[in-house]
Amino acid sequence: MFNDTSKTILLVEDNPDDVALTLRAFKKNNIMNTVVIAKDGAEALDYIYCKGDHVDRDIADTPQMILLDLKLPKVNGLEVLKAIRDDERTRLLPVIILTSSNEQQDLLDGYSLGANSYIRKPVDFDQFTEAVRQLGLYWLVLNIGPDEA
Amino acid sequence: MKETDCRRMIDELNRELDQLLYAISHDLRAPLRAIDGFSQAVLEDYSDVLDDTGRDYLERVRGGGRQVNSYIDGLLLISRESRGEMDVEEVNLSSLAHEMGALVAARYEDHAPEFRVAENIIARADRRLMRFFLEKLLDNAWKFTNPVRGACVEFDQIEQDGKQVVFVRDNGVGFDMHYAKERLFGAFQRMHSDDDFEGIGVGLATAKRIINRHGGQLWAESETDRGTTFFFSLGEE
Repeated sequence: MFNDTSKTILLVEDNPDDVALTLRAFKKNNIMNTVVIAKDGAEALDYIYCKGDHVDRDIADTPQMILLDLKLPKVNGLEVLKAIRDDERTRLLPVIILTSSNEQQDLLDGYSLGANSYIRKPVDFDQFTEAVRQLGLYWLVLNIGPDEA
Repeated sequence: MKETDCRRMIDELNRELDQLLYAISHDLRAPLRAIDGFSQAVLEDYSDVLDDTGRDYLERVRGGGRQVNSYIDGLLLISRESRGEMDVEEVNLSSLAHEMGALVAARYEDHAPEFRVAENIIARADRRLMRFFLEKLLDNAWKFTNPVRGACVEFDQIEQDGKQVVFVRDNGVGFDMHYAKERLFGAFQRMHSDDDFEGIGVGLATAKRIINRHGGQLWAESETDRGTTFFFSLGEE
């Protein structure tokens, strides 16, 4: 059991403060994987499917874990999730919804569309760091991804 | 205006109010996360250049943020508890009192007032809302009998003008009725200072909203150092 730090984490988050806090939480928990930031849903899809600014990326180099906020500009989180699940090449990618939304409907929609997990962002930073630590431990170390031998 | 139109307008306004409360509360969380998170970040990453005063100031920033967060929780509580559809049925309030009493008692490690529940108090109400309502009243009773020896909380009913009136009575610290008029059921209004009793004062505001939804009445009688009784009746439904 170990963390293959060559694998990337895709963080889809439009709030720059939350991005900074999440990156700091990764650092504090010694999660050394490359973190790619997509600040809206369109950018997230461009990254995953190697379009737009990411046209030279290798599509087989899939992220180890996708942290997905729901309220995003251009293409919202649930639409990104649906696109990922509808495509054969990315259908199995682990997607963790990390959102401030308290809405029951978002929770139901998230799971219905095939999210692996749904986490609400805590306001307290210590709790937030702890949540990130647990996410890292589970999804990067414990969990066996769909493309691992 | 016809009564049905009036009713519909009130319901619509209530719905909008709840949605507004929810939206405001929700949008405030993100900046609060920034306030708490970055204060903590400075405390941790720059601890070598911060003196005690600097640390103290940053802790106050975090404290302020936490308080705002508590208020938001309170606002959401008020809005959420009033948002659902009412599901009115025959409810055994005595059973609920036992259940919620046990829940509340578990929160207080060193405080166990005598709890007397009169059996078979039945009323037509929304069970889910009544659970929340009784929990609020009982938690109040527990909280304000905490400093008292021989503490006792009672749940019973009386008949007043031919109507069923249920009450939660405690022999705790009570409050001065003089200040009660507007303050008692106002959101965030409190009858005691922060130093004496923790709490942000939304419980009773929510309790009042619940009774309003039932078309009932909620009122209190109290005397400083003698105790408090909260009376409520539920509307005909």
